[in-house]
Amino acid sequence: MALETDPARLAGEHFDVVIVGTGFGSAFFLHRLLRENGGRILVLEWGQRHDHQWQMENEANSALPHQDTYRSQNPKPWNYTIGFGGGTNCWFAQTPRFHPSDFRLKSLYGVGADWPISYDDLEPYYGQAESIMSVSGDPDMAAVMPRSTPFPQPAHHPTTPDRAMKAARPSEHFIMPTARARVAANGRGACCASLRCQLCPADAKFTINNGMTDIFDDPRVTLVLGAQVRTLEADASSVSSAVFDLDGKDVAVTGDLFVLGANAIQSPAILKRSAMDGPLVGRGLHESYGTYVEAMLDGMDNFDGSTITTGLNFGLYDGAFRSDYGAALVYFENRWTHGLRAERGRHRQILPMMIVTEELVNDDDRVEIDEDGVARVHYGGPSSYTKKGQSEALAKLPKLLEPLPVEDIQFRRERPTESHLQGTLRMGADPASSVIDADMIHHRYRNLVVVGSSTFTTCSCANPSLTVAALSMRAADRLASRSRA
Amino acid sequence: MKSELSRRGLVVGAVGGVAVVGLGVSAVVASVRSGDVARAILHRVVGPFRMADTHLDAVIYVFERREPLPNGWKGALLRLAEAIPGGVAALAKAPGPGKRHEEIERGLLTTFMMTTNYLEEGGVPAAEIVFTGVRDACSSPFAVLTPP
Ligand SMILES: Cc1cc2nc3c(=O)[nH]c(=O)nc-3n(C[C@H](O)[C@H](O)[C@H](O)COP(=O)(O)OP(=O)(O)OC[C@H]3O[C@@H](n4cnc5c(N)ncnc54)[C@H](O)[C@@H]3O)c2cc1C
Ligand code: SF4
Repeated sequence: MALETDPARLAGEHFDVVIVGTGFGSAFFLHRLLRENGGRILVLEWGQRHDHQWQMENEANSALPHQDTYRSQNPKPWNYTIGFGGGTNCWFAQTPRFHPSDFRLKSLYGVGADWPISYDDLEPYYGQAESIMSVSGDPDMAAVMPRSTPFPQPAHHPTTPDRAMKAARPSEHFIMPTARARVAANGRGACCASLRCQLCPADAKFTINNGMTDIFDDPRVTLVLGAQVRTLEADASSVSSAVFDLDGKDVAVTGDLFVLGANAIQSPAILKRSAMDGPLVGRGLHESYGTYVEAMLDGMDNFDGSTITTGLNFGLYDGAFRSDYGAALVYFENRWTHGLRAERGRHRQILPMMIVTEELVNDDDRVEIDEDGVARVHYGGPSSYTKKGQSEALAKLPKLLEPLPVEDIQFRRERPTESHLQGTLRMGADPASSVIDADMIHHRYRNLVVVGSSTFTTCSCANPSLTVAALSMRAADRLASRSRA
Repeated sequence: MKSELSRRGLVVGAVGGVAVVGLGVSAVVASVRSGDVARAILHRVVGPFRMADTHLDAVIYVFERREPLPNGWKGALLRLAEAIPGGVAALAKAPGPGKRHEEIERGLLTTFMMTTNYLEEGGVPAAEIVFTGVRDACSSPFAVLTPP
């Protein structure tokens, strides 16, 4: 890995490509970029590199607490990792694709917006990202999300409730797609249901550290750790340089192409500090909304699956109701979130679930910067659309779970966050309602590509990172074909 | 045979990738006072089992490190509920204390199952149950991990 630590050697240097961040958005873009010539590439990462051993010993994903990197007037937490590999360190590696309807919310249901690309546009890149992460999954999922390539790894072992649901509802209930290895591969151990994926003792989930460091070893790439990008400098239509803090010194480098892949709070903060603001920069911060629910089972044991979450149910996902309230995705858990069942001989007769509903994007929920340049979140709470999605899902749950011997369903509590910050530099065809175009290029600064979950047009219920990775690979691909043309 | 829990067993942990949370003997002893109600709950929800006090104290200590058992009037209410016939059912009906009681009994039961050899012994009442430590990796005793 070509690490550069000396500010003096970097100052004034010119690079063909300057990439901000090493998380999902940036790393998958770099991966695809390196298939082309790519030129001289500089990667600027705010955090340090903490390998698996460090993270396990320190019970943390990074030495830099993310809570210190933003402020908010609302107690809702926004979770992320500042460090080499970004969110690949802390994620749980749940990797569903988005539903094809997620990309067409406005034209199908009259709410939200349409993405400027379709599921079909993204499909080949979903396959490539799944291949890099050795995703394990259920081939039957192709019924809902068509696929041109098989899952790289076989599906995880489902629980008994999953098997019953799948038998009764084969086109709705699937084994969870996940980058938690089903079989040991590419230096990663097999997932063995340790049930604490934020710090996986088996190193079974995909991370940049265990699955992608080779791209940073490429001789064309210079990586700078501890480099907090403060600003970009631009004229009316293009970015010329990036200014970052390294060891307390401001360093400026110039470049031809800039790729902004800090997260959905830090990326808009960089643009705002750079006076590259626009009416929508930082607006629309959102995430899906989740709750914990439990079903008491009569005579059926749970928890015999091979990973932390084993089932994903789409029975409440799509339909005309989305004009009125949010889609819901039901996650079947193979962990006892609320403890085993306290009844003699029936300790495993319980099914913990997470219900996650989609959210509508609200421009009032936003990222600003304080006078000292630190990101500040303004967030007003979940919308009535997503809350109604939750209450409707709860009401429909008894019918959904009919294949199981359910005695009782109990609402447990709201989840404080899904840890999925999204939507502050949205993608769209129209510059009046978006910040970047279908190729993820800034509508105004034509040599600035934005990657990461900040680019999401709308909020699917599904976990975002596979889509972040696929979008990045597509953006790099589009750029490559453009330069070839 | 009643096996004794050695200090080494407490601090270093058992074999096979099982790491024991660093337990000091004095901390274990201090937790014993709140242990009686925990014992009552465990015997009620697990069923009969044989276990040396020192081992059971270690289970309770692990539980209390995360979630101390209530003291004061809340603790008294809990002890009372476990002591009198129909007490647990009555407590379950009270929204606040009932919810807390459920959390405690489920948490204790889970800690017991995850830190002892109870499941390996197949729940046979005559078996000697011992504290085996907090397992970090591959911690689910129920997972089926047979290769595909
Ligand atoms: C506990 C937890 C569990 C999760 N589980 C899942 C899951 O199971 N499935 C899923 O799909 N998603 C999950 N996520 C979400 C996932 O982590 C994010 O969706 C994903 O990381 C977003 O990718 P990104 O590229 O936008 O940002 P990141 O991956 O966060 O990358 C941003 C990068 O930019 C760097 N950076 C930030 N600011 C600067 C700056 N000023 N200068 C230089 N570098 C900077 C960061 O250090 C980081 O490397 C989880 C998140 C958390 C916190
Ligand atoms: S379930 Fe366990 S082994 Fe699997 S990824 Fe999560 S922590 Fe790792």
